[in-house]
Amino acid sequence: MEPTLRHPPTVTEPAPARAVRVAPGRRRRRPSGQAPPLPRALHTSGRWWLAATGVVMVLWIVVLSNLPTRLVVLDADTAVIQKLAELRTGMLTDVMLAIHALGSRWTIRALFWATVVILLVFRRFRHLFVFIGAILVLIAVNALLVWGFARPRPYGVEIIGDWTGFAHPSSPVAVLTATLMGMLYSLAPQGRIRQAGKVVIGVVVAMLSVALMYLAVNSVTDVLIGVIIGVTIPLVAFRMLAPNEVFPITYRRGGSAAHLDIGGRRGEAIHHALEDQLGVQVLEVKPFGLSGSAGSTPMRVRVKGDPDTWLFAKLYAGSHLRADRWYKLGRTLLYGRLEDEKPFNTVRRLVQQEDYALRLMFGAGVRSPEPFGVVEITPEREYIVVTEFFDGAVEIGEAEVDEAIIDDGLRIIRRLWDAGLAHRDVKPANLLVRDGRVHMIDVFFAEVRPSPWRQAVDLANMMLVLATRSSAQQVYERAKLQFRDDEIAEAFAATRGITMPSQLRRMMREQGRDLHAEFLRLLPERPEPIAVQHWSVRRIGLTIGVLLVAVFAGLLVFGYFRSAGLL
Amino acid sequence: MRRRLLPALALLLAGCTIGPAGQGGRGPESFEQSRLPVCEIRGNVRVPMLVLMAQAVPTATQLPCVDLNNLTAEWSLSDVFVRNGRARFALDRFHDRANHAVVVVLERTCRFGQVTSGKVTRVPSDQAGIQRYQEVTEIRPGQEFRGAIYYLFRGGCVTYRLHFLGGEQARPLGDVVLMLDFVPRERVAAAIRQDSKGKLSLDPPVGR
Repeated sequence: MEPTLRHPPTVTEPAPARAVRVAPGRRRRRPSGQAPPLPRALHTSGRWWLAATGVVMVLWIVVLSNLPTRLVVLDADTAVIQKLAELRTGMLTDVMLAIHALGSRWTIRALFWATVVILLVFRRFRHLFVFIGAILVLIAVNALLVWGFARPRPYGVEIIGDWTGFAHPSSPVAVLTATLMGMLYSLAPQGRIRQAGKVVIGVVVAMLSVALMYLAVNSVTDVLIGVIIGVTIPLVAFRMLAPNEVFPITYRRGGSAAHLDIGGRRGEAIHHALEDQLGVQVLEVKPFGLSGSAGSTPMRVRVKGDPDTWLFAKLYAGSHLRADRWYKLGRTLLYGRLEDEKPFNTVRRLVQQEDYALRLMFGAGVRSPEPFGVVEITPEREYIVVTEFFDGAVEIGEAEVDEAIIDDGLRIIRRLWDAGLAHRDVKPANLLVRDGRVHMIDVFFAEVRPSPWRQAVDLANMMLVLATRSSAQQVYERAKLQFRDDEIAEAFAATRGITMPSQLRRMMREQGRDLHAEFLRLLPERPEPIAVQHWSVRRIGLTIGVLLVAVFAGLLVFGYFRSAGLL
Repeated sequence: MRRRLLPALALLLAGCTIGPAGQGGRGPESFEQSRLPVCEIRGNVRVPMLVLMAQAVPTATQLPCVDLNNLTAEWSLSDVFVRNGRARFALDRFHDRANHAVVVVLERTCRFGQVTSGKVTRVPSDQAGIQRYQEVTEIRPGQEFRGAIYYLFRGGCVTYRLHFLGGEQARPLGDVVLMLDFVPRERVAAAIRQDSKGKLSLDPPVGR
């Protein structure tokens, strides 16, 4: 797309012809009542598990509340334990005492904290929080049931193992089962490994259960109910809060926690949604540029055309919305109100902003990807923004940068200024070079009628990026052809440290060049720096509030971990 | 769903009398009391916590407990902990909950002078068939009293560790002696046999 050849679309003008030649397919409107491409049915199995366990527990409470039925249960339990006690021998007792250690606090602590460390190392925070939450909920529910049932240890037999408190449900069995299940669902990828893990857990829990009964620490129904709640709580937690379809466990390199799996059911849904909603014929969908993206799941879509061509697509989900919120909160706390740090409320609004920014840039004649629209995958939860793909383009950090490229890059900023826009994320990864022209991508942060400071930062960052592949002197000389001296001075007064994207700072550091200082030396007058930190009552209040919440939450978690025996 | 399920479960648990029918209690009060080391609930000594304490120290012929009839509003029970070999609970005074005024420990043997370092002397016992020893560790008039009472019986020992803060020392000591009592193990075992119509027994048959 040539900026000089395009004009902002008007009502009377036809829409600009597509640069990409895509063979049209058949668009299909989803009728009312028909399921979306990826229906949100992921909670169903978890709810069934929970409901089934709830029914079992209620029935069990009814059975134990009634004296005749309770006596039947106690009698049966006692008979089994007494039979097992008759099998006791010295050696077998030693073996059972050793197995009994599987349910000890130290075993649980070792397993729990090892899992926490592994999840932290792999930055799988979703699974980490679900794991910790599930174990803490399990311990709380188990404690409630133990207190509620208040059932003593088995009657009429010598108890030869260690125990603490009432017997029903069996705490060692419940906590060990839940910890192992949590480990399985947070560490083992779905498939054969997980299936094999279930068998191993079954064997381990069975061994512990037999040992507890042999030692007369627990009776049959104690361990059975312990297993039921130990399985149910983590299973339901992971199925509801970290379903494999959305948060698959992989140990591939090069991705990040922000990236969703685009294979399986979701892959099929993406395929059908693109065809139905955009009217293209999809041939292939592949992840693309994962290492350069932390706020969405980027992908490349091959569509039928003349010849077949690629489209670029970004999948946004609730996790990205939350990441955006935390990012903006962090910036507000660290720097005050840099600009437009208001978080989005819904995923739909987030993709609307991206699509709007794309259309705005494209309409303003900035050489940016042509928008193809938004595709719905799961209503209010997952959407895809589709754009033109700059096939054959290279990142500016790897391209030859001559005077023509420098002029072209600076012209983009000039055009943004003239159109009253700011890109707000000018960095090497967002500037591509193709056919001797600079293209600007990732316009998500674009802002309409930004402050002069924000526009000045865009100019300075563009000059710095261009200088990393040439020289500050050369870029400065070319910039003077399009910008006044005072505008350039304002740009470098506004830009330093945090206003430069981290990728740009890293490149300059690797090159051992302080380009910012070099530009300042070239200016006729050294400008007064423009303050970046903005202090306000809101920022101070927010900072104090966040600190208080963090301290309170920390104390709460610490106290709870201690009382739960995990510390 | 879980948000609705858990309170429902708690309500159901609280509403049901899971304890023995013979203890007579049907309301939430007796439900809670049955989880505490109380001497009896409406005449029945088969209190789950007492049974658990008996299982913790299988040799103990006496079980320490709180006589609810003498438990005044100034005192409350806390820190109930039972494991194999040991049972413990505390009594706190209303105006001094941060400090356990009395910690009651049931073990198989006494540990004279292990926790405190005063002189242990035998005194006349207020419990039939149980020897009583007393130890005064520290007296700071008007400020603090530290000491211990040991009850020694066949198969076990109960220690009352005393720590009273404030000017009053004689009155709380009197309260403790009144509030705390003993239930013979045999009474608990008999209650279990009776409630289960002879099917269950507290202890294994002799020789097993």
